[in-house]
Amino acid sequence: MRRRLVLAAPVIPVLSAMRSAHAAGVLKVAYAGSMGVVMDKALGPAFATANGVAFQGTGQGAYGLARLLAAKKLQADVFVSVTPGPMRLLQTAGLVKDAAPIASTAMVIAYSPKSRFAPAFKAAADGKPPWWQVLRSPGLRFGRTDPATDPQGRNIIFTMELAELFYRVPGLARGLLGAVNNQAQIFTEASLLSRLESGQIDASSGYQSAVASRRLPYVTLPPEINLSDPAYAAKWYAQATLPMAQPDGTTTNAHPEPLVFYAGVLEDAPSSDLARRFVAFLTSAEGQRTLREAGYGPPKGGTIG
Amino acid sequence: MSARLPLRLLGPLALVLLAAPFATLIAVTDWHGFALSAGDWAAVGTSLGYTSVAMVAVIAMGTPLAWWLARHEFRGKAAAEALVLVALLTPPLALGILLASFTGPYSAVGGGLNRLGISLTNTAGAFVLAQVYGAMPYYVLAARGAFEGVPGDLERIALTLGKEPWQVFLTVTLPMARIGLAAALALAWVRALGEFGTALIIAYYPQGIPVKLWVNLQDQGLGAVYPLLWVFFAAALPLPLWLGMSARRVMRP
Repeated sequence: MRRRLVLAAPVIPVLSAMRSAHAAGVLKVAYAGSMGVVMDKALGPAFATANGVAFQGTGQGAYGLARLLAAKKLQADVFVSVTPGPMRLLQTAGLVKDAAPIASTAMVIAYSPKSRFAPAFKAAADGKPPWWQVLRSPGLRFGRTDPATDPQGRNIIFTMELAELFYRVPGLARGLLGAVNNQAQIFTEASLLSRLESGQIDASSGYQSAVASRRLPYVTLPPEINLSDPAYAAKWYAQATLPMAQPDGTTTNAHPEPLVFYAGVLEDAPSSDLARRFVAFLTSAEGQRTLREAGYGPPKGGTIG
Repeated sequence: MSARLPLRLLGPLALVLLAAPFATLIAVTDWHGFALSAGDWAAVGTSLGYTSVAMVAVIAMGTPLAWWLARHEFRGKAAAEALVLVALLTPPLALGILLASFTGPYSAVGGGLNRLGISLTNTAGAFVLAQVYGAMPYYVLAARGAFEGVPGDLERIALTLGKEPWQVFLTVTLPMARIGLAAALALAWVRALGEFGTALIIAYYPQGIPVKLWVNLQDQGLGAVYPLLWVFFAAALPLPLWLGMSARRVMRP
């Protein structure tokens, strides 16, 4: 009998810890992977401390998360999406009603401080030469993410297409990116940023917020091509297009969506009261200050629903 | 109450626990609409083809290392053992990040290889490299155990009968260690095929099955994951099962 008690002993604190966490309340937030730093280090802990609850964040590709949530393979209280697309997926599934804009970001060209092209990029960030001329340097290694799985992978293609129109340089996008699925350029985001930091690629696409929070240098782009402003969406951004193969064999044309972050409460949220409070916190003065300090732009455009 | 009863119950209980997620897989798979996604067969080919290459490298390098660790005492042996453990212990994602820095085009090693026309970034070589790093430590640990199970006296007797050390290794040590070595190879095969974290960093292309599962999830959703998972089992299981059975068969002279 005694031996059995000993065996069970290590289990007891684990079980009681699980129960106490539940009793105090847990807020589960599924968010676009690029928000990792600000969610897990700033917003989550601040909300958890102020409300006496535990914060559990899950950061992944926003479309992947939305699909897991829609298929009920993942449960969360709040979903935070980059671009309206993943949020609309959940609205179509009847899992989210209204989603409020909480922040925005912009496409930038990040570069490695260890790159031999770093001085040229720094000069381009100050205005001369144009950034796209630096990217055209022979031997320069450029990295981006997979357009099939990651919105950022699509966005850099849109940005280059718009740059071609904006700067009036025919063939610019194809020249810089190669084929849509150019295997020499495509990495996962984790791989891309670690290669950039360790100096194994020269430059990459990036979201200003994610690149700034990693303290990597970058070149900003004008609003006509950086996809940050919904005001440009209908007339100007819509000119960029990317044919996407669908699972059923058909092809649809994708267009850029403004890089606005939206937060929505899930209809099946286990802690719906906490969820509403968290979304309110994100749009409060304190939440907005935290986002601004982490390199995010202000919320742009209106609520989607 | 018999003291054996809990043991008899715990064995099947563990099996039920292991089987539970796969029972779910049967239930959630859409059997009527069962179809692979574009690129799934290419991923199967990539996984089986390059994992076979990786196994040749793992056997060629891992067997001598395992034998050396099993049969020799030398200064710094503890350090050598620790090194194998560190390779085993390192989370695959971290290993991928280290390999990206080590083999990237601007590193000393990667730059040198680049000048020879070899790239270890998103290439077949990078894929095999990820698998070798993932599987070799497991192979070495298991193979070392297999060699240590061979009685040293038998090897010494063979030596006194005038056989060369390499003949003793081939005719005495290897046959006697075969069950353990087959298990080591099965372990390495399974480990290499399932390799995800390291491949995600250094070999997003060519896409093997684990990375393709992830791509299918991101790109299309769960419905595209289950069919490929079934194909993965069908492709990956025969070799380790066959190894286990054939190694136990009586060797004929």
